[in-house]
Amino acid sequence: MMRQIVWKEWRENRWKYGALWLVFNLPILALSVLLGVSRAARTPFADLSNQTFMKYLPLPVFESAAIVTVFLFATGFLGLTTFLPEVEDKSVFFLFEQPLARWRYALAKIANGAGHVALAALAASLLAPAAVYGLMLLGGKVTVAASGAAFGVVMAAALRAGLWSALVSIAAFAGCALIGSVVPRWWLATIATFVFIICLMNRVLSSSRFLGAADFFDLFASAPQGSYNVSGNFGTANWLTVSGNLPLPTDFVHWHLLPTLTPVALLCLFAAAIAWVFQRKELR
Amino acid sequence: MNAIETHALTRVFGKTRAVDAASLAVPAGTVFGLLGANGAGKSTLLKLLTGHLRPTNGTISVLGEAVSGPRPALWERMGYVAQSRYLPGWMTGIECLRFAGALHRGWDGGKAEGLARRLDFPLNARIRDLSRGHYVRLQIALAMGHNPELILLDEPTSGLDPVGRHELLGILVEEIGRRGCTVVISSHLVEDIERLADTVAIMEAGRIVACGPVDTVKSEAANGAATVSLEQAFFTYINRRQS
Amino acid sequence: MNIEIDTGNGVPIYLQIVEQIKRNVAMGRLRAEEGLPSVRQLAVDLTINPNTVARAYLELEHEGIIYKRQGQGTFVSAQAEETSRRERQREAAALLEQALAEAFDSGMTREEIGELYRRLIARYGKEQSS
Repeated sequence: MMRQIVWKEWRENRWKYGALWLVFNLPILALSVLLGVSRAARTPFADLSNQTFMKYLPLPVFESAAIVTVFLFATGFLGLTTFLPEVEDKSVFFLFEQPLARWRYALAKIANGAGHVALAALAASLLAPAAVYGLMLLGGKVTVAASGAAFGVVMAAALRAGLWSALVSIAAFAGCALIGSVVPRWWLATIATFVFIICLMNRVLSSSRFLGAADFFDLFASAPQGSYNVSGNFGTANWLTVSGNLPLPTDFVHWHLLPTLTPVALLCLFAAAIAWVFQRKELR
Repeated sequence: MNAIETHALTRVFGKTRAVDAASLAVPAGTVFGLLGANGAGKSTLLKLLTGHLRPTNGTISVLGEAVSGPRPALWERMGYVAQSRYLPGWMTGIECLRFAGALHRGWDGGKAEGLARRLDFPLNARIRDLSRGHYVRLQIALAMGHNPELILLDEPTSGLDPVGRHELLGILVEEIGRRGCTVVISSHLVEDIERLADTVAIMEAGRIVACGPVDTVKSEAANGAATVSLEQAFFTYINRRQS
Repeated sequence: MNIEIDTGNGVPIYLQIVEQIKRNVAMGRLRAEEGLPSVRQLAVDLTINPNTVARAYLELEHEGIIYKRQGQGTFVSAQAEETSRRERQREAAALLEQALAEAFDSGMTREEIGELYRRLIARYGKEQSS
């Protein structure tokens, strides 16, 4: 059964999955184009040495931050556009006419989409620092022997960040998949998706617990004491405010458990809701 | 043994009673015709039988199983040809057949594809590009590919030219003759029903106004007068109901 | 064997099949011991429910027009032609009576009817002997 669903989802949505990969890797792509085009941009890379490379190497770990913030819109819209069309044109009823329980189909569809999303998030999170390190090596003055260990540390942080951003992305995907299954109109669903993603993003950023477990702030955990306050403004409207205290709590519950469980709990909630929605659907 | 039984089956949409206290029994291995004008409730009744709609009231039994909503296991044993068009437009015919085939235990791939080829069917065209005639042939292949005990068809000949209609009915007759399956077919074309049905139910405004073997239904409408056609009988029952 | 079903005339389809097969036999289009199509085949040819064909064949069997040979199919019986012909003649006699009654009822005189009868006999009798 799963093979059929995976095949169907791939054939139906492959361009959308491709678009997601493209969006996630835009920073690295932009950087590559920039380096290819501009000598001024290449200069800092050429100047890097084994002593100075750590100024820049940790930065790509913020790819994960991008995935759980601005790129969350892309993930959300992937969720929406892989569920809404099938419900809207009623082709979901062709699936309901197979000897396959509706809730099984719902879970298979979600699992397949979540798999694609997680893979894209993880790959992008790992690709960013790896690509930057590669470019540094190309510069000639940075050597693997001297910088390899530090690279390993950065990659470990990137892996943890990637895993967590994958979890948050899956939760975003599932939430918008639910919107797509329930809201019958495109314009209404789009607005709902926007609102949901902004709320999720706000939640992610404003919770110091999330920040703590984000682990890509691992590298800043030893920062000086104090509080921070960051606002996002769109014109005169303040749509995002993030604040908290440094250093960040690093106990197991706050650093690992809660932030992992929260997106998983959201995923389970959304998946159950979608299964229930499919079960109740009627062909009018 | 009845393949289908309903008791006082009712389905309400808002204020409309699309199906109103319908009670019928379809003996296994027979052809049951549902005759009625557009909007009489035939499609709704069929969707209730497949589990695509939930009843507001009443009971349904299909192939020995109680039905009051989705029943996935029943889809191994029954096939359905819907009136509306909702096969995935991006799939090709052959992909659709193979997809369904992989999900059905009793799928006969040779039969389904052989049927599609015999119907001169463009297997590699996308479903969204199929004409009405080709589309319904794909529906037929999908509905019969797993050798179901029960086939339900909702106005399968509507929109077909006379040749297509003749072919479709011919395929049904062949299937009935070869496998002795139970068939429930709805139509607003009296001739389709008259040719194929052992038993007929005439529907009007959600109610079943006449039900029984075709010859009995005709003779009861005749009321002792000369023989009547099913069409005349149909109008008699409708007028009786309305007066 | 060409059978045509008319769904509009009210006569049950199985009866139409019975009548037409008997007609074919009476007119010599179907000979004794000739094979008939199987129930399924005829159903497909006529695009009607196989049960209806089965019912027609059963009726014909009861009337002795056809019989089933085990494993080989259905065939026209030896006495079918005679039986059918006799029945057809009975029907023709009834039709004649009906026509006469109609002729009298319309006001034709005995002489007019007699004259008409002689002319028709002359015409149709000629066709029969030639």
